[in-house]
Amino acid sequence: MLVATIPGVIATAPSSAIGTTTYTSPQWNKILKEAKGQTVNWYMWGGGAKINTYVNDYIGAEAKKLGITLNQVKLNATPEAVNKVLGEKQAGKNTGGAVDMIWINGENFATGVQADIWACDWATKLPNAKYVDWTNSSVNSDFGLPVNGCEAPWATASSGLVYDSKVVPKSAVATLDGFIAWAKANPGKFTYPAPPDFNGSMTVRRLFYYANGGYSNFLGAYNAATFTPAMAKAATFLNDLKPALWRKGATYPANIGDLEKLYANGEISAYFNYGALASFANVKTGLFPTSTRVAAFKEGMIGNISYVAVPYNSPNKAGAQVIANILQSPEAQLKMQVDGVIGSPAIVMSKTPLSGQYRSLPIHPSSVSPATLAKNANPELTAAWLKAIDAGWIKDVQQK
Amino acid sequence: MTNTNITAPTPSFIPKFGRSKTKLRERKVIWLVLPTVAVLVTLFVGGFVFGILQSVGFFSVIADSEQKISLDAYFAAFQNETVRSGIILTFRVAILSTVLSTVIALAISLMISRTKRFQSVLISITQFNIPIPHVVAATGVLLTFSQSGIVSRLTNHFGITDGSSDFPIITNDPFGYGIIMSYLWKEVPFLCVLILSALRGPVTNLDETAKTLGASYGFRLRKVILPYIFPSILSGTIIVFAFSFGSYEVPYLLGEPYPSTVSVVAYQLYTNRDLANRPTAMALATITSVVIGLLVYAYMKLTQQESRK
Amino acid sequence: MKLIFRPLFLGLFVFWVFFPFISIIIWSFAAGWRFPDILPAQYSMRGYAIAFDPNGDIIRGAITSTIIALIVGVIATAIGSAAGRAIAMYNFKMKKAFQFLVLAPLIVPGLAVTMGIQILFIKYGLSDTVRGVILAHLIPTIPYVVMIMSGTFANFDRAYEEQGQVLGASRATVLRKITLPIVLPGLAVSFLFAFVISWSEYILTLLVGGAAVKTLPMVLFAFLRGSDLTLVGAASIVFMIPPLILLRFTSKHLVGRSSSVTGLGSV
Repeated sequence: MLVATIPGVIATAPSSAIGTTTYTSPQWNKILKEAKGQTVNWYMWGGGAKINTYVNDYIGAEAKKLGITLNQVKLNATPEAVNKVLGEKQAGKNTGGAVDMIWINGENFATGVQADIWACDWATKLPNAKYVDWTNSSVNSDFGLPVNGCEAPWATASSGLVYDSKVVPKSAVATLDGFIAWAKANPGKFTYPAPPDFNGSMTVRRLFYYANGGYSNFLGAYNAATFTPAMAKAATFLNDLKPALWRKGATYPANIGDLEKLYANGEISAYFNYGALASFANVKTGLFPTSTRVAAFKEGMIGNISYVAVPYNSPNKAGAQVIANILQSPEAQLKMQVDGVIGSPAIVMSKTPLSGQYRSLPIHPSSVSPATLAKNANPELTAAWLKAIDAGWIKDVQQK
Repeated sequence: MTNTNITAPTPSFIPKFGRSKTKLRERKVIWLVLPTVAVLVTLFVGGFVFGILQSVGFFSVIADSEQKISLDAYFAAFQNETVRSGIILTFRVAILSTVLSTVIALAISLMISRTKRFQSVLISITQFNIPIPHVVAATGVLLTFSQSGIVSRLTNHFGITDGSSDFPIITNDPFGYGIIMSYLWKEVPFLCVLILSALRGPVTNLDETAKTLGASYGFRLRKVILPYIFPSILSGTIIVFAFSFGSYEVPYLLGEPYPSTVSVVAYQLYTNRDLANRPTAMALATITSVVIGLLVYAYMKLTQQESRK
Repeated sequence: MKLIFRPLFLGLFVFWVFFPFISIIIWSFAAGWRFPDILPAQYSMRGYAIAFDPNGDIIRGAITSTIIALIVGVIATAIGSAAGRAIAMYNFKMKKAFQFLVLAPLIVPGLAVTMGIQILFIKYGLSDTVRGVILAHLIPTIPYVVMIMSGTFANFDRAYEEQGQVLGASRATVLRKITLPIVLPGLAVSFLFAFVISWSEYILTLLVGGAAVKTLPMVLFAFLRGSDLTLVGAASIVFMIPPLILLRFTSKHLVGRSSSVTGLGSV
């Protein structure tokens, strides 16, 4: 897992010209030594049971082998951790911060960049960075913002449609067109959480693309002139959709947990979820019906890469880097797939010694492969677009 | 609070047998009072003051802003639609909860005090909810009264409703029914404990005396019992109102994302990704505290006038 | 007329007190319970197995909560009793101001105060710590203790203490053998209130302790945001046990002849 770097190996260069080499052997050994005995406080969204088990049991054990104690701190939502670091900076606490690592991407990462709270110049230097395709623009830019070595990729998520096949026919889940038509004809069976919840935000974003015929106009920097008419179109569509939604769109669940309660109770029968593939754990415990399925629309689902970032005032940066490196190891990435923890790997599995095992992984009969979900993936937009769309939804759809 | 004596009231015509309230030198009092003062001044007053300071622009967390001291945050709060609807919702929920819980608790306490059989059992039952955390109360209300809750399943079973969406929406609803129900469930027992305590005091002697003199229950209620327990009711009502107004957990669990009560909105603003919202959150919190304070003051002044003995 | 009305009303009240627990208890034993079933199709102990797992979040949260609530209970009762005695038995300069100070935390939402003080807590290393949480919990608990104990001390006759002193007992002995036994009911009720308030506190713990101090309300809240209602049911039951045990021991003092809680009267 910790393949000793052959002196002189150069990792693939990211398109932004920083740190083109991984740590040298002596450098990495120094980090390993420093990390021994440290406790790394990893702040992350705690609502995924499978993710928690993977992090605490497997990653925790791997960390222990190197003398590091991993302490997972479960969050209700990622902004809590960002706010904590912001608060510490506000109070002048520039060393000895409480947060060592955050599972993060998109808007939250951007907020941190704006406030300058990330430790940078380390992510591309990890030994396992050689498996990461840093030349890929969806890796070296996070929702359009250059990563600049300030965060290390962990997992690729492709959102999917979770649905009850007893209620929603297969024909209705092939295309988003077909799904919207079905929802309108069968009102009350679909809904989404209210933004700024991250799954709600994603659903609104996907429907924003849908209402505007695609996402190509919105890539790149935020443009108010483009946004305003596009938001108007999206708002019209979403308000039109209201009668088809649960409770006629008069209100929305507050978060993915509440949304899944509705699904578990049979009140709704379909929803979008970044963590769609983890739904089958709920089938196993009896919470979800056995007729639960996951699908991807032909027009594509939104996908993104999530990372781990280290705050500038963390006292355990060495330990955090070692953990980040473990997360990127082929063994850990493969185990993530085997256990069905999160979408798909963030490293290029075909470059690793385990590529054969990865290729031959079985797919759950009720599920689709991560590759299927990722086909025709819709990208995320830069944080400014996200903020605008969320605010636009609140004003023009929720408060209407 | 002009008549601020936190002691049990003693109607003037009861002789003070064996009660010597000697006034002592103040030096001794300081030691009794100092720890409380230390804790509350640093934490409570300090927190409140720092909140106000942050609401006008001190300690700004945005990296590149100059210290702009202004009341901008307050204007922003009032212009914020989420805040405005939040205030309306909060008032509605707080006032209804307070009024209903006071009336119900009073009725129940009086009934219990007049019940001979099972009285101690009933008293124990009223106490049962007091140690139950509000989160559990909210969970109970949610699981019982949601559209897929136990009541809905029963009405569906007996054909009164057809499916979960036919059941009325009383949790996570725009009016605040779920929130009110949860508050009532906890506040009625709390008020009952206060009122029952007061009913067991010296008022029972007065009541007995009046009864032997031939007064009816209605008369005794109006002229003897209620005036006597009034202070207990008053303080209980104030506590209940302030709590209902400022609570976070219950409205968060039983309310909607929008509109939500002021504490929920304040917390959302405080933890919002847009850092400029922090002063607005503090402004909202300050406004809330002032509003509750004024209402309590007005309430006490009004009831002072009513309760001239 | 009242003969029928009263038992009916009281009966409804009793039913109302216990009714919400029914769904919590059933859910805690359910292995999936989809609408429109009246009762779960299958039962399982999965919820309780997870809830009582000694290494699990719930037990660890319970332990943290218990430690914090016990310490808060003791400190708040001690400090608040002294203040209650001062208010009930002495007149002093600034007494009205002091009474106002003591009651203000009941009026001002805890959220407002804790949001304001967070910056200081971070600066002085109190945030994300148990001791920071304990300090924060003192804010809502001390006022209740003061009110309860001032009521108790208002009915307290100094003559007993004076007699003890006249007979030669030291100040400490008087406190131990005379005062404390008399005001014990008030102390018990005060401790109950302080413990329960600290035990149930969520938003203050969230703001001060961050996600690092995991008390039971934090754990339960996290489950409530998830979709596993079986676990929510089991965790809720666990959450209720220690306060109910405490109530069992103090209930006779809550509505007793000592009328200690009457002190919550006249503001």
